[in-house]
Amino acid sequence: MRRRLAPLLVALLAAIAAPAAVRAEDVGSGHEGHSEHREIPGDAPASDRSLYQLPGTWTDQSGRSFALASLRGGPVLLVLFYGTCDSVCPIVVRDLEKVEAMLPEQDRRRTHFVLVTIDPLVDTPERLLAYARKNGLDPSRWTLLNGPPAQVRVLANVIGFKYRPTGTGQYSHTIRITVLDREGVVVDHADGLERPLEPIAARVSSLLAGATK
Amino acid sequence: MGLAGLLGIALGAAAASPEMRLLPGGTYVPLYPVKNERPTPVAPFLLDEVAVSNAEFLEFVRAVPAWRRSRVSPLFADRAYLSDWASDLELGPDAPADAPTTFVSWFAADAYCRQGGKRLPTEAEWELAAAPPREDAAAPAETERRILAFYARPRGRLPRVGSTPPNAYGIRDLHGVIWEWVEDFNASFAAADARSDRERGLESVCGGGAIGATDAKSYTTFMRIAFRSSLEATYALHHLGFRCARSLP
Repeated sequence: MRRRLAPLLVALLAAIAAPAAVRAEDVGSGHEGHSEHREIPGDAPASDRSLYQLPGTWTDQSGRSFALASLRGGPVLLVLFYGTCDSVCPIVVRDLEKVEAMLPEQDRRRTHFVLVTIDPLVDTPERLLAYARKNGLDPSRWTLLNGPPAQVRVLANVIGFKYRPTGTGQYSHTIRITVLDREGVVVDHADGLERPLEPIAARVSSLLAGATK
Repeated sequence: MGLAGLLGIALGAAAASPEMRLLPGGTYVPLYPVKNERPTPVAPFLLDEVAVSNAEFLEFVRAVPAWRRSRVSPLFADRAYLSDWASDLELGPDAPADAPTTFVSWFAADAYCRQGGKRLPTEAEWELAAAPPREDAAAPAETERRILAFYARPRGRLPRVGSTPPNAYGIRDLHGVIWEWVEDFNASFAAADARSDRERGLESVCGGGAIGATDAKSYTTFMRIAFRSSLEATYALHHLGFRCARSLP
């Protein structure tokens, strides 16, 4: 067993090491004589990283067309999930509700909680509405979104959320709460289930600190 | 229906886009299945015979200015994006028109395919396309040797697209020219940080990782999946290009 695995592990480790090496090599060499990495001068303004530039529209739990850009102005806690997820997703949604409860009233009113389904063919807006009601999610703050699968994949890749269907309607997926600032720029992630929730609430409040209204 | 029958359909289905080939689909077993995971059924689909070339990608950025090098959002591509081109709309000596386009992010590849009414192939589709049924028992070992030789070769200039012989499905360049984006490039270790697979996530990329794998014989599949899993969707790398697929109506 050990003997058969050894070369395999070497190959695997080599492969894992490879991308970094390829990357350095890609940028640095391969074309002799000049740098291949022609950087665009200057850093892009933060708004260039806003999620609100993503193309496409969504449908919310009321069946209404919804543009992500309509969230502009307040902080957003964004979670990708699916309604028939019976293990992890309900815990993450409950955690979001806990963060909601932790926020001071004036911050809570101005924060949005957005759940986007990774299973849009099953999680129709009607089912999302039923999910929101069952979990007692306040419709003034909670938005549950359905969109075309390709659009979901793009959003997931923007926030670094990985998922794949594993048959029987279930998904293997990342556990991640994403914090967006008031312009839709990702400013924080909280991964896994055992992270403390207080820092997330504090982050949201800090995004509202000094804001008028 | 046999392969010949399917290929007969291919001639009809592919008439509008002669550069695509019909693949019969099948069943793909993920290299790292999670508990109770079932093999992924793959429906017959169309796949580009060759990778997208610089010339083709240039047409795309002409048509869609938001994907030009100077205008692309940092949300969608890192700073190496199209860095081998001479300028926004000029390929230059480092990016031959007939070579595969590389230094493109996943977002750019995805947008290119969708603009043409296509999509990126899934990992399952790509891996099935790259492994036609074998007639010769010695073939797998030989194929693995050839692919490993490519993976080990120092990176030089890219050959033109279509420069390698077609495989049994009529698809070229799957091995030996570039690495390719797939739609779900980062899904293999999707649950690496999920609760139920927390420990597995570590094992997957560490010593005992191969024990959980379904096909421990294929070094090159391991290498491809490890490579893909290491990517971020904004990465633009030399030797990382793509081709498009299309579902049958």
